[in-house]
Amino acid sequence: MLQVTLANLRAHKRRLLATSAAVLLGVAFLVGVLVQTTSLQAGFDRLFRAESADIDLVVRSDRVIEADDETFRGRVPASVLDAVRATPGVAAAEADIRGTAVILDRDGDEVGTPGPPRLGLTWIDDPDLSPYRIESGRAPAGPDEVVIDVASADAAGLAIGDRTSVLTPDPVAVEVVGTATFAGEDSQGGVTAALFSPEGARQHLAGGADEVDRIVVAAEPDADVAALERSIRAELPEGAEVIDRATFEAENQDQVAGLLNALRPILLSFALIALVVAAFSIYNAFSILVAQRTRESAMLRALGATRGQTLRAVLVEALIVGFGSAALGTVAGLGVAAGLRALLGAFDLDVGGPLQLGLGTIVVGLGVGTLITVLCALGPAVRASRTAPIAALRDVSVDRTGAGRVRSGIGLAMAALGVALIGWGVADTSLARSGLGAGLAIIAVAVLAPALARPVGGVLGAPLRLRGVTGDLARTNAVRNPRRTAATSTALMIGVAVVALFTVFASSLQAGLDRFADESFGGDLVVSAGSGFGDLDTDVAREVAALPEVDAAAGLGYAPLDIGGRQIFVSASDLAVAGRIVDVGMVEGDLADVQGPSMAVAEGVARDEGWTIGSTVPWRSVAGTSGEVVVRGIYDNEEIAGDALMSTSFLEDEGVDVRDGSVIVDLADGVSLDQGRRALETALDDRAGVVVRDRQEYLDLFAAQVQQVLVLVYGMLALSIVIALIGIANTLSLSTIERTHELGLLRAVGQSRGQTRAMVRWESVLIAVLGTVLGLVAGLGAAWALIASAGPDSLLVFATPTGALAVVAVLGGLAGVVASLRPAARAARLDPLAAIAAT
Amino acid sequence: MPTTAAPTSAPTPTPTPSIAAQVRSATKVYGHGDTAVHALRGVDLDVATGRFLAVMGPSGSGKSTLMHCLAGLDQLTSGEVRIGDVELGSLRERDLTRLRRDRIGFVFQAFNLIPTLTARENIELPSRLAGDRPDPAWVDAIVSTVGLGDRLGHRPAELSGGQQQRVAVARALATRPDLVFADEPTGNLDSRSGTEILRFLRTAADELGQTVVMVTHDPVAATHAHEAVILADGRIVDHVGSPTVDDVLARLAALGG
Repeated sequence: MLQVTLANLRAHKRRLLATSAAVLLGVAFLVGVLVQTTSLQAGFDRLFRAESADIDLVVRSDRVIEADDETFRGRVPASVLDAVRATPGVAAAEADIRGTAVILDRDGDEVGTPGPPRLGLTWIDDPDLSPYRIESGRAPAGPDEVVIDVASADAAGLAIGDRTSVLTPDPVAVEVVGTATFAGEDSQGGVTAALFSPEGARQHLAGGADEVDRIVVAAEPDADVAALERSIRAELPEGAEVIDRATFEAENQDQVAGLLNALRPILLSFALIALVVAAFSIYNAFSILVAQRTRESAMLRALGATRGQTLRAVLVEALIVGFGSAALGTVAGLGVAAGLRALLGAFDLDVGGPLQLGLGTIVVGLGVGTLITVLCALGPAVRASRTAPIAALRDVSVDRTGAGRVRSGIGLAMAALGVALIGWGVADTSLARSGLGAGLAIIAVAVLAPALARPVGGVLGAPLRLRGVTGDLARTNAVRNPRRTAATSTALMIGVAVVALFTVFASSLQAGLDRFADESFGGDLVVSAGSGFGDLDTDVAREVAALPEVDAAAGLGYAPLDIGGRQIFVSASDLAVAGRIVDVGMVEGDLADVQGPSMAVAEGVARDEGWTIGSTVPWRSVAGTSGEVVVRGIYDNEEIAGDALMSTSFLEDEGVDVRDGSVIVDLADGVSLDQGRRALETALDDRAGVVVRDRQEYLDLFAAQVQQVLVLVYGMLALSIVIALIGIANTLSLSTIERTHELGLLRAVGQSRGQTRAMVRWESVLIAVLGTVLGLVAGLGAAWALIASAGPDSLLVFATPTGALAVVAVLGGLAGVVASLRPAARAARLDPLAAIAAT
Repeated sequence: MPTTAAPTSAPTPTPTPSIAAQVRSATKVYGHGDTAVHALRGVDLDVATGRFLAVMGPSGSGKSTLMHCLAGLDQLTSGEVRIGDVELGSLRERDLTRLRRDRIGFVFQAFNLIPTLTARENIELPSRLAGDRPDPAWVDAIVSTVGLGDRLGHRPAELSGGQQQRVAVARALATRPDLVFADEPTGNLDSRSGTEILRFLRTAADELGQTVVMVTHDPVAATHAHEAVILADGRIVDHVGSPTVDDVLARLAALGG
């Protein structure tokens, strides 16, 4: 039997090519994702190990606030450095003052993106205590001199001796005196670094305070580090702690672990989509191959092959094809990983280093590819084994499987259950419930596809009547085998459904932002950092508010704070003014009353904590200050105001560092938008990197971000779509082979080559459009279900991007044309005589 | 000896007999060198308009090759084939396709019909490939002649072998082609259905003036033709007018000797 299998493989190399292409691409994507995430992990590990240099111990503040997974830590007095240095066993110790610092390029544009951190650091000469080394120029000496990382220097086009600004967030005019490498690389994985002299760092990063973020310590070569740690701890004042190298490294790596743990499932789910799409193509190919070989299977059975042998013959064939393709796919995965690296690199998620193809990845790639192929071949193999020996004597080489009542029944039941779950989910805004329902409904569409293929194909194919008999033949060919057509178009459907889902999400987010702006945001102009995501000094709001052209200006700021044990970002603003420009939806109290030691809280937070108007709540900051605030207001617009609102001036008086994300400006009566903008731009002229935008321009910034993510998603789905198209092309090719007699007859009775090509092409287009339309319907439905059950308070407003979806539909049809090129050409080339004679 | 099949004394429905198809010095060689197969070795043949001609011969005699070349499905190695006044050797593929569609009708031994089309759609197929509507009166006439009246809405799978073959004959006649070629049209049929098909082909010649060329190895089938030519080894070796079974068997037997 193995001989027969191998002979089959040899004989049908071409027919199996597309099957193995589907397996190969699916596995390649999976392996690519695994390789890329492993490489990212390895790269980050390397970079963070390098960050530890030869540091043995780190001294720092023990005051920590963790808001939204971000860790904020206080500073220790600079005098601690002297105490540490004086400890016996310390070889060297240096202070590191750290902060955010955005480097501006020659044109005043920000270097880097909001992705990786943009840091201001203290230059440390001692190579044991810092991974940074001078590449060219010299170390910073004066307070307004900086060394920047080589990558930033290249990106900004800055050379030694150039003057520019660094936003800390106050613009600091600096001279670039040198460039530095990080552990031998151009940057720490995209982190931009501006390294100041200790005095520069004190002035610009610590706000002139004699405080430092950490003291890095190298022990004497023969010192007992654990003992040294104990003796330093004994010297430390209240509020300071010392940690060893291992703890320091582990903390640094935890930060990245969070990022990778978020990234990996996202990437893997796109790989999963590709594999599911591939599975449909593989299943289809084996179904057709088995059907075409019915005669042969029957003959084998007539000659005495058992059902088990017939079954195994097909499975062994699948095993060989699956394993071979998976092996090739694993190799191709390295290419996909390189592509992913480029794609993620656009988001500054690239840390360089070699691609890591581990043994585990190889095993997973080979295993998944082989398993999927064998599982997909199982159904067709069982069908082959059921061939009656008598079939050998009949001409039944054509797969004529229909829709099947049981299958349709199951599909309808699933659809009903899915819709019911969605209805339930929407009714009580349960995202999980409607997500499950939407998933079930999409699977139901796939299950029902054979039953849908004929009626829907008939409707979609109606325009083909205009193409005369060629169009008629294409239409009837497309629906003559509903199960095959369904499986072919389902592969495309899944890809398109996910595309539609994300497209609708993006446009709904856009619509939501617009609504949010309309309802909550009354300002005329917005002042923010150039990228829209940087920080502003709170003085900007004060300067702007003082302008005669401005009626009111409120900075929308934030500060990490511990409030009643809840560690959050508190929103900070001049609340007397802010209430006139933004609508936080006050439920109780008056926003103007939130001055001094008081706050307003979101309704949900108040409910959770049992706070009411008049409650007294303790707070503390990383700066070490603390006190109590009285609740004076409760609001419900959490999108704009967050969990809690406090007065900026109160927080700053208490030593809390407040950063404004933006300043919203309402112009005085009679001041035009242009006049106002000119006045603001003049007033802010000395503040490099600050940009004045009108509402729409400001919203467009977010829209651009959404679009960028959408492009990433499209990139990830591209491979799935390609696999689906290969599936369509494969099905068409196999169908063409199956219909050789028919094609020969058509050519003999006068069908021109052009007409033959057109017939195959329109069949392909119809299958592709069927998949596209089902996908659009499924994707739109799922998006609606998810958005509707996110509730009226979510930032999403269901919006159908008609234009974008129309483009998807047209591309779906064109994809059909592309998929048909080879099969159509082959069908047209058929010699009518040979085709008729063929058996 | 090459002979012509031009009618000399047979009654013809047309007053001035003309030539529907003509073959001159036709040779056809498959392959080359030592493995070359000479399927046709210099055939001359005139097919008169309105006649039903049977081409006979043992297998390997070149009869199918001759028909395929006559029908524009295959090309001669040398020599000429004319359909009416068109020389096929000079035609490009596209024109050959058009010629087949517009001027020639086919009936094959099997696989004659497109399974997704109904009987009527199959009959109308060549006209519709040309972008025309076939003349309904003509189609009705043919359909009633071959006796398919109530089966027109059915698909091939719902028809018997004989009915399928009748649909194929109707399709071949529907475009009023210059020539109908039938390649072993009764090969897959029982004798009763086969006889019916042969009668239709004869009727088409006698009553509609349709020229028919049929390739067959069955002497009984040949008796329905106005005349028969016998091929052996790539040459026309004999010509029988109004053939009878005994005639044909005798001549074929002579070849075997």
